[in-house]
Amino acid sequence: MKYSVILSLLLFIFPAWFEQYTKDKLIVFASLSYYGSDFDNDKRCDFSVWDNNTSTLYYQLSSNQQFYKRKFFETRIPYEPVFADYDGDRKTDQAFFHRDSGQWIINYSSKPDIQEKFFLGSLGDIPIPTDINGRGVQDPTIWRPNNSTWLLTAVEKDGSKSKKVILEGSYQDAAFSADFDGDKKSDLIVWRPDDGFWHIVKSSADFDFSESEHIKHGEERDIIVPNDYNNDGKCDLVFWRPDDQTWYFRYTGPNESSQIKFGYKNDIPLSCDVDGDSVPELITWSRAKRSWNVLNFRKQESSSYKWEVPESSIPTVSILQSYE
Amino acid sequence: MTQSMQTEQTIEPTSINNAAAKGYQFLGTRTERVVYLILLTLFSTGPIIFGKSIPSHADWHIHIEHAYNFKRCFWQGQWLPRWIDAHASGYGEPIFNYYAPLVYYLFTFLELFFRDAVLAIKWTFVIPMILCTVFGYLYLRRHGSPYSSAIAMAFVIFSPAIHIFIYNTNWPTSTLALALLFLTLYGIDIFDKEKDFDYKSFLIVSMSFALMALAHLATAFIFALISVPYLFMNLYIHRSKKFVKNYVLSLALGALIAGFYLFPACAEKNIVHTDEILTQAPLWDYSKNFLFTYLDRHRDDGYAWAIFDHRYYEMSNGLFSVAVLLCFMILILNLNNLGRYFKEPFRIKMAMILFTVCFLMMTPVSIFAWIMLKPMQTIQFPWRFTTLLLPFGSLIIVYAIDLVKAFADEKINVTGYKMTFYAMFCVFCMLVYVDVVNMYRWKWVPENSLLKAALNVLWGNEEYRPSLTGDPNWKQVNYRQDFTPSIEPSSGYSDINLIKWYSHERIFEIISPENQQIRLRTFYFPGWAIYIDGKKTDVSMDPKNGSMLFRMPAGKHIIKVVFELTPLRQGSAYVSLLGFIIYIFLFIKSIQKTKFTISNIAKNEVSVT
Repeated sequence: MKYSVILSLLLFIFPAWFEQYTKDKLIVFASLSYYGSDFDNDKRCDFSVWDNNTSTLYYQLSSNQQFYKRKFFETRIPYEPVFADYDGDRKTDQAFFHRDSGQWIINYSSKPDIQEKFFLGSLGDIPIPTDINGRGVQDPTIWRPNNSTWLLTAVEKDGSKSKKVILEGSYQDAAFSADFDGDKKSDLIVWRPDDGFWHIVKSSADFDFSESEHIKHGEERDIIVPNDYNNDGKCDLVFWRPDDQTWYFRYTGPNESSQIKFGYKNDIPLSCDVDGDSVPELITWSRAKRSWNVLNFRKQESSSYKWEVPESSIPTVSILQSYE
Repeated sequence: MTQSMQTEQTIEPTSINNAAAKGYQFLGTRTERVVYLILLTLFSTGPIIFGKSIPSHADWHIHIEHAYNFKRCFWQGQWLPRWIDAHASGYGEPIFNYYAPLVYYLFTFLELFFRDAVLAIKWTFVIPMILCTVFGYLYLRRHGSPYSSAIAMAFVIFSPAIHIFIYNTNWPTSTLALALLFLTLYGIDIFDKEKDFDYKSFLIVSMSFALMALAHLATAFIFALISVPYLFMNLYIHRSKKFVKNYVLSLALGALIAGFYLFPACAEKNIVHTDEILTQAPLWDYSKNFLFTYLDRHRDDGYAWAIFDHRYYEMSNGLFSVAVLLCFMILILNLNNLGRYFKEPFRIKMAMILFTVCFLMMTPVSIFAWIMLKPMQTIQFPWRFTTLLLPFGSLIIVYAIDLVKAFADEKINVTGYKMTFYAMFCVFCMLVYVDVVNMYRWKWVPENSLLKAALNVLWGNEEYRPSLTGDPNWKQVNYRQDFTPSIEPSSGYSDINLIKWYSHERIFEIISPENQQIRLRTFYFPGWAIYIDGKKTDVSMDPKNGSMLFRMPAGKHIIKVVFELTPLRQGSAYVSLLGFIIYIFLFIKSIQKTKFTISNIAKNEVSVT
C-alpha cells in the first residue's frame, strides 16, 4: 500500500519535471548585445531576463531602479526575445520570434497598445535585427544557415518595404549584423568557429562578398560578444572564452587587441552600457546563481546583483544564439 | 550415420584440457579473454569516447541534424516521428516514415540519460560497437572454442563493417544492424531440433530480426535475401520440419513486431521520390560503387564511396578478406578431415560458400545478379554486403584456428600453419594501422559545429520529398530560397495567434473580417488533416509546390492542423502490437517452461537421493 502511494505520487508529478528533463544544458554560441537594452531611453542599460516556461519578462528600469514583471503570452509557445529598436524612438522594443513557425511579434514602445505580428522565416532560420540603410531603426531580418542566405528587410525613404537576399555564411557560423566600418549602416558578419575567422560583408560595398573583410580572431568553443567597446562607432570583434573566462578584444578602429579575465565558467557573457558613458560594461549572467556580474573595465570596478527569478531565465540584454 | 559418429570428437574439451595441462596459454582463461575483448573494443572506440568529438566525413551533419530533430519531435509527442517539420525549409518531410529509427531512439534515450547532446552522440556510436563485440563473440563462440572466437573477434572489431562504417559514414545504423545480425544468426544456429518448440531460438531470432529491420533497412533486406539459401543450407543440417517452422515463423514474427515502421516504409514508397533518387541519382548508382575496381574515383563522376574515401575502406575490406582467405586455404586443404574434428562440418562449407557469395556481390563480377534482381538496386551500394561478409568471414577464421589447434593437440606438425598465422598477425597489424590512419586522416568535428549542425543543417533529403505535384522537374523547386510565410491568408489583414505548434500538430486562432483561403507552408502528405472549430475541412494542394490550402469563413476560428495515421500506418501499428503481445506470451511461456524443467530436475534428484 505504502509503495503504491509513493508510486502514484511519483507518477502524478512525473509530467511536471519530465518536460524539463528532456532538455539539454544550454550552450551559447553567440551573445549579441549590439542591439541595446534600453527600455526607458535614459542611455543606460536596463537589465532583463526572459523565462521561456512562463513567457514572462523580468526587468529593471535604470531610470527608477524599479523591478517589473510582464507576462506576454498565455500559450506555451516558446518565443525567443529579439529585442532591438524597431521603431526608431531610441527605446528598445520587446520583440519575439517563434523559431518553429517564423512568427515575429513586436511590441513597439512608441505604440504600447499595438502588437505587430507577421511571419518572416521558418524553422531553422535565425532572427537578426539589421539597419541596412542607416535610419537608426532596426528591421527584422533572418539568416538561413542551411542555404547561407540572409533575407534583409528595410523600410525605404518613401515608406515602402523592400527585401533583399544576400548570400553569406555557412551552417556552423554565428551570424550577426553590426556597423563595422562606421557608416552607420549594418554590415553582415559571420564568425566561423572552425577556423576562427570573422567574415565581414560590408554595406558600403553593397554586400559584395568579393570585397568583404576576413579577420582571424578566436577559436572553437569561444562565445562571440561583439559590441562597440571603445565608442568609436565601429563594432569591435570580441569573444569570451569559457575555458579561461577571458574576454579577447580586437578593436576595429585602432586595430589593437587586449584581454580581460572576467566571469565564471558556466556564465553567459554579454555587454551593455550600465553607467551611461557610452562604453559598454562587461557583464555575465549566472544561471545557477541567478545573478548579474558587471565589470566596468575603464574604472576597474565590479559589482554583482542577485535576482529572484526562475532558474530557466535567460538574459535578454543579448540576443542569444544557443543550443538547448 | 557419419554425422552421428563425428559428434563424438569435438574440439572444445580437448583444447581447454590441454591448455590447463600446458600451464599458461594466451587467452586461456575467461577473465583474460574478457579483458582482451574489452581492451580491443576500448582501443577501437577510444578515439570517440576520449576524443574531443567525432570525425567529420561524408554525411555527419545530416545524421546529427536528423538525430536532433528526431528527439525534438519525439518529445513533442510523435512516438515514431514520421513527420519532421524542419526539412525543406519548413515544408517538412516524412523522413522517419522511411528511415530506420532505432539508432535515433537510442540517441534520444541517451540524451535523456546524459542531458548532454555531444556525450549522447558519442555513446550512440560506441554502444553499437560494444554490442557488435558482445553479440559477435556470442555467435562465434557458438561455433568455436573460446580461444579461436576471441582471436577472430579482433578481426571483427577492426573490420571495415564496424570500424570504417563508424569512422567514415558517421552514423552507426549499419554497425547496430551488424550487431543484431550476429544475434539473429546466433538465434538461428542454436536451434535444437530435439525440443518440441525451441523458445530460446525463436525468441532471439524474432526480436533481433525486428530490431535489425528497425536499425537499418538495407541490412535487413540483404539478410532477407541471404536467408533463403541459409534456410536450405541449415535444412541440410537439421533435416526437420520443426526447423523450417521455427525459422520462417520467427522471422515473420520479427517482421510483424517491426511492422509499425516496416510496412509503411515499404508500401508508401510511391508517395516519395525514394526509388527514383536511390537508384537513379548520379551519386547512388550501384554500378559505380563496386569495390576493388580502380582507384581515384571522384564523387562528381557518380562514385558515392569516393565521399567516404574508398581507398581506406577497400584496403580495410581487402585486409580482412586476406586474413579470411588464409584461413580459407587451411580449411580447403583439409576439407576431407573436417568431419573428424567438427560437430557440424557442413557449417564450415556454408560459411565458405556464403563468404564467397558476399565477397563477389561487392565486386563487379556480380553485376549480372544486380541487373537481374532489380529490388537489390535500391540498397544502392554493393559494399553493403560487407555486413554479411563479416559473420561468415570471422567464422572461417574461427574454424581454421580450431582445426590447427586440434592438429597441434594431436602432435601433428603445424609449422606451415604457424607461418600462416604469423602472416595473419601481420595482416591484423596492417588492418589496425589502416583503420587508425583513416580515423585520424579526417578533421574531427568540434562540439560547437556538431551542435550547430544539429540546429542549422536541414538539407532536406530529396529522396524523402513527397511526390505530390507530378511535376517532372520537381528537383528544380528550391525550397531553401522559399521565404513564404508559414501561414498565409489570401487577402487583407488577419490576426493569427499561435496556441500550439508542434511538428505534427499545430493549433492556432485566426481572426479575419473576410473569407480567406489559407496557405500552410507544409507539404500535403497523406495523413495531414485540418479542422476548423473541431470540424474537418476539405484541403486542397498548391499545384506549384504541394503545400496545403484550405478555405475559412470570416470571423474568429480555431484551426487545428494534425498529422494523423493513415489506415495503413494505423493497421501496421496494430499488427506490431499484436506481434509484440504474441512475443510476450511466448516469452512468459518460455520462462514457465524453464521453471518447470528446473523443478522437474530437482524432483528427480530428490527422488534419486
